[in-house]
Amino acid sequence: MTLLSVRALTKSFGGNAVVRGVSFDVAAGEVVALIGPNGAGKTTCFNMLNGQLQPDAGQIRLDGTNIAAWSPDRIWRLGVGRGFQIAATFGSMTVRDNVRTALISRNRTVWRFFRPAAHEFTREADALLDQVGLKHLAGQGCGTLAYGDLKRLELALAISNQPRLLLVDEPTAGMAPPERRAVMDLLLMLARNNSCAVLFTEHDTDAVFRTADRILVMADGALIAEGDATAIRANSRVRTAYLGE
Amino acid sequence: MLSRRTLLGTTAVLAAPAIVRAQPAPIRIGEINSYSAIPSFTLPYRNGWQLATDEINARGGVLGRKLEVISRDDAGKPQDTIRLAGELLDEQKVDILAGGYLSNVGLALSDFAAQRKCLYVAGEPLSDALVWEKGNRTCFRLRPSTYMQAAMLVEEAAKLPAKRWVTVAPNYEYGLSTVKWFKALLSAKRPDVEWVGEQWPALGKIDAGATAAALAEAKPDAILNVTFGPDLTNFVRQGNTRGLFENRSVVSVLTGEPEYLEPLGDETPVGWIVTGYPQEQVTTKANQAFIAAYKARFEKVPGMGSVVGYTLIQSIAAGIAKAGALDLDKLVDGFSGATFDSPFGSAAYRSLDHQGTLGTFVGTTALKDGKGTMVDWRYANGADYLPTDQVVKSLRPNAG
Amino acid sequence: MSFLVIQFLTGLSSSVSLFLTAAGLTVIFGVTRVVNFAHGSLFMLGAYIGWTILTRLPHDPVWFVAGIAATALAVAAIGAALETTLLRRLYHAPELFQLLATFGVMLVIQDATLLLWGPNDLPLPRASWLRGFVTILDSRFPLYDLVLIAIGPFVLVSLLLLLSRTRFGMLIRACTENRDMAAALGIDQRLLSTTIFALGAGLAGLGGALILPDTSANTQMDLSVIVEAFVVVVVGGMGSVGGAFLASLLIGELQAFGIVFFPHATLVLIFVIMAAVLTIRPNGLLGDIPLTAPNQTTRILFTRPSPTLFWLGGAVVALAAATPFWLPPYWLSVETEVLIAALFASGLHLMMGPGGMISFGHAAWFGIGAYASALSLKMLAAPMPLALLAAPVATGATAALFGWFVVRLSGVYLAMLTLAFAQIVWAVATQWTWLTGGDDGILGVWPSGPVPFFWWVLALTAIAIWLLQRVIRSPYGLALMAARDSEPRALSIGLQPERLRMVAFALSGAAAGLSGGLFAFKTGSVFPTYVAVGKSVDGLLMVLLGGIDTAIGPIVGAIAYTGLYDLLLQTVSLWRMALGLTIIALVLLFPDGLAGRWRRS
Ligand SMILES: Nc1ncnc2c1ncn2[C@@H]1O[C@H](COP(=O)(O)OP(=O)(O)O)[C@@H](O)[C@H]1O
Ligand SMILES: [Mg+2]
Repeated sequence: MTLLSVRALTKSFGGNAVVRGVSFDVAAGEVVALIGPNGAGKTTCFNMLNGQLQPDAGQIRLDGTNIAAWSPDRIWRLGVGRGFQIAATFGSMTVRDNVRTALISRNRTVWRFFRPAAHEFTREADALLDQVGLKHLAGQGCGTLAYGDLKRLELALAISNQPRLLLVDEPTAGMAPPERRAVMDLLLMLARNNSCAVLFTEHDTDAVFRTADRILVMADGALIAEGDATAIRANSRVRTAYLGE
Repeated sequence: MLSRRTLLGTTAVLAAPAIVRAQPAPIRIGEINSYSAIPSFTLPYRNGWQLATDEINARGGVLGRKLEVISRDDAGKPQDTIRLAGELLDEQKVDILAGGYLSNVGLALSDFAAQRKCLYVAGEPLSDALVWEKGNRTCFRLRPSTYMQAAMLVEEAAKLPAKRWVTVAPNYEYGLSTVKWFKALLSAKRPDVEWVGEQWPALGKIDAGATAAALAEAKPDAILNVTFGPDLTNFVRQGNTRGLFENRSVVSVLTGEPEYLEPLGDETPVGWIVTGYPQEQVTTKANQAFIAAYKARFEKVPGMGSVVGYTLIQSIAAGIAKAGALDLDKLVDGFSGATFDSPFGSAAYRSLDHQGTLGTFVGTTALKDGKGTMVDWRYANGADYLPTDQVVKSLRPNAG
Repeated sequence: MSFLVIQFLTGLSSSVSLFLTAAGLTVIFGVTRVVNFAHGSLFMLGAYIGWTILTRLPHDPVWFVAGIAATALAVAAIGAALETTLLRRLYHAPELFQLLATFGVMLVIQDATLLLWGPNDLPLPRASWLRGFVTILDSRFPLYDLVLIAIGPFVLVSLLLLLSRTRFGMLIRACTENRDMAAALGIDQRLLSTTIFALGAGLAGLGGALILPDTSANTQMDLSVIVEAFVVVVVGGMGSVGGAFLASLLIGELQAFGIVFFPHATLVLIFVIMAAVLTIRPNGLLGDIPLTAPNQTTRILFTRPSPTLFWLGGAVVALAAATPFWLPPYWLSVETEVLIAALFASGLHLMMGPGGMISFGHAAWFGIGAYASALSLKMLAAPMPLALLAAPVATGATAALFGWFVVRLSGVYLAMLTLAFAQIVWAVATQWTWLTGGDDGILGVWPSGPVPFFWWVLALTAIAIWLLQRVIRSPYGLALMAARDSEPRALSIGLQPERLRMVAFALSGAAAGLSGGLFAFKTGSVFPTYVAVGKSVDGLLMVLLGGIDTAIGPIVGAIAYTGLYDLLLQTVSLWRMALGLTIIALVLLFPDGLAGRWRRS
């Protein structure tokens, strides 16, 4: 069953077409990789998918609803979680408060001004942290975490709303190989446990070929190939885009 | 703006030799003014009150006690005036409050003093409200008010053939009320007069060229100017260059005071009808003696500010002497009707509205050796330029 | 017809000096991203140095030009010195610190000017050619104004050529557009920054010197010019020289014609235009520098108030409640002022700390609160408690409305817009005489007596501060901090940063409003000076002194700042210089934040 269906998605910045007519589908529970050289337009696509950028044209259907140009919070409520290329967390808070904030948002208790936040969702927050293996760091300041742990925290934030679709931008960028593998495995496990689909970008081709059910390739703002690992390896346009052959 | 400085130890008794002798405690006068904001007027003013304090103390003080002036700088910010007044009353335990330059500061001080049941003697603030609409029992004011200055000038203005008048005045109490009275009084004397334009530049922010052009556009026969200080300098320069004053009569409040005349230098317009102070030209004994004493001490010719500062303290001494004691009721009674000496001659505080009868000089501006001066002047006694007692009573609803 | 032409030309000529100054400010901002508060002081130095030089030179035009040029060079040298000794160290500090440091420089220059040239206004005697005029359509127009009108476009074209045709200009543009790229390409940014600062300062000096034939050099010109120059730079678009030219023309003409049509409201006009332009074009007329979020900072853990602190606070309040029994009246009044200041700072802190928005015009809310209280007492005869209630209600509503416009902006733009709004409030308070009493203010706003009033203040500030602390600890407070720490992340967990900020704006305004209302009763009066820039800066300093990343910081800061201020005031006659140097020292010694709590990656 198709969960996400993107049609003719287009975006330009000041006359510079960055995403041009991109169309693809993601089925429920599917793990799809979006790859392509730097500057291909992957992050821009993600930003449109979760509402942080408004597309110039095109449709984004989630379970049939066109969510193009919706605000991020509405898209999030439909069950879209997001991980950023450079880990984005709340630096002035403890690890637990990071997750607590997401839970407060999920449970719509943001507009409470009087009740101490410390009483809100502590158990749930710790349970989420447990899932990503950060429970022992719950009380630590977020600024003191190692980069790998920050990425894990991001994952915890991304799944806090029990999403149906996770958008994860370069989950293992900037990490040493063993750590990369661990984070990638964690991502897959979370997706499986929550039975949600994953759309991710990644430069580590080993990880991509190992984990993705399907691979989309972008270059210069356009989708140039789609298929499984073998098909992509063999695709001449992909080789041109990457290797200039 | 942020300028505020407490002038510690600017007490006049410092000049006295440090002989330790059993003496009754001095009478303390708390004085506040905008020293850092309006130095051109307030520095001569400070010299004036220092001179008076020392003269009075040399004569043995008042009621057998010396006078001590504790002075504060409010930098022209009225909220600081009030804070400092509180400090003077509560910490310094002063017996009387005095001072002020801008009308709004004067009104604020008067309101504060009434609230705290303390006598306040205003020196320079000219607002009519100080003794009339917002007049109260505890406030006395020395200088001729905007009404009186307007009345003095209207006397001359009414003799002019001019029919079409325009006004330019700073957009605050002093400017508003001067224009109001000038218009009312002149229209009463000369029903044929027309008011064909007005300009209200913000104080200290005049756009002189545009203002001069806008005034000229009204094709007036005569102009009433109420701007002073830097605004006046800018206005005069643009007006001179653009020929605004040519073939027109100009009546201008305070412009004859040395503080405002001096910066105009060789651009001083000739033939303006002004109020002011012709300094050494006034050969009365009182004035010559004052100038001599002032020159001996400060090596300068006194300005209008010096006269105000000097007379302020003289009037306070006279009021206290007449009161015989320092409690508020006695002081109010004592100051009401108290006569005092000034470089301009003898004057008094009216018991009717607590307005001083000190006058000022009315004359015309002229150029002499590249400097501005006043000619054809005469002394206008303040007592002669006030409305009838009946009118004053109706103007002063809130005060005994 | 002739009048319109004359007025138009007058507007043109009066815009020139403003344009020069603003052009200097805008190129400095473009390259260094420093908003130079001391720029008005450079303008003032131009006037004073110009006076000193020109009064000593022969009076013919050639010497006049030489004197003006020498003045510009001298001020340029001062600018270069300022850049190498101070500002260079601050390029990587948060924007607020740069603003404060340059504000400190402004204070120092104020007192230095007073020391060097004395307190009196210094008019430049005009040579006869400076008094000349030409006749245009039967009206006389000053020759010198015509010269000025020619100088404006001349400088504009020279600057544009310099920027577009020379290697120096290429480097400047590279830095303006992308600093990191320019650095990566090996451009010597230090030298470039010093040069550009000298250029900007020279332009300000030129602007200051050129007004001498019309206006005397005086010690108030720095502040009035800097506020106008900010308006021009923001309206024109930060970093855009052409924009500065357009905006200063706009303002010059607005003043020239404004006094014809609204002679009573000249001050309000400028700021209303500014607000209008920014609402339609948030980047200004020709602004092309994108409104990027402030530099990403890694923050350290925000210290939220702990329960013990609440008990401690309760104990302090209880002790304070007993002070009227033994404290002399003056010190009780000081204590009252400290309490009011603490509330003001706490409100500002909610916005700046957890909210992450710099306000450079918080005095607006303080003033609106004060007027709201005073007016409801005077016009509606409300009893004091109701009048005090009116303050936060009126302010909160206004702040919410204003917040709705500005929460989209961030960093310096937001700060500038708050400054502009405060200036509008100030202008309205000054010129809407029948309502506000103008400069005379509103008098007779007295409470029943100082001691009961002290208890009112203590109770209200304690409750309000306690509520603010609760807000910081609440789920809302957490969400607000989240929006500050990382906007993309906050968005992608379903938060709505703009709404969160707008509410913070309103709450912060309401707190400032209440403190303003209390202050009105404390002083028994309200004046436009409550809304002056200095009041806003006071608040910023209190918050920074206390440390931005702790909840009790603003309270500590309010006490420390009020103490420091009073101490300087009472002991040092050059207190502005002392305060300025203190600010600079604090900023330099703690570049990571005064309490060492605002660290950068
Ligand atoms: N806000 C923006 N303004 C202008 N150009 C942008 C913006 N965001 C991205 N781009 C440009 O869009 C192109 C695609 O960027 P991005 O989506 O980040 O690529 P990827 O994630 O595939 O590396 C790049 O050339 C980038 O410079
Ligand atoms: Mg990317």
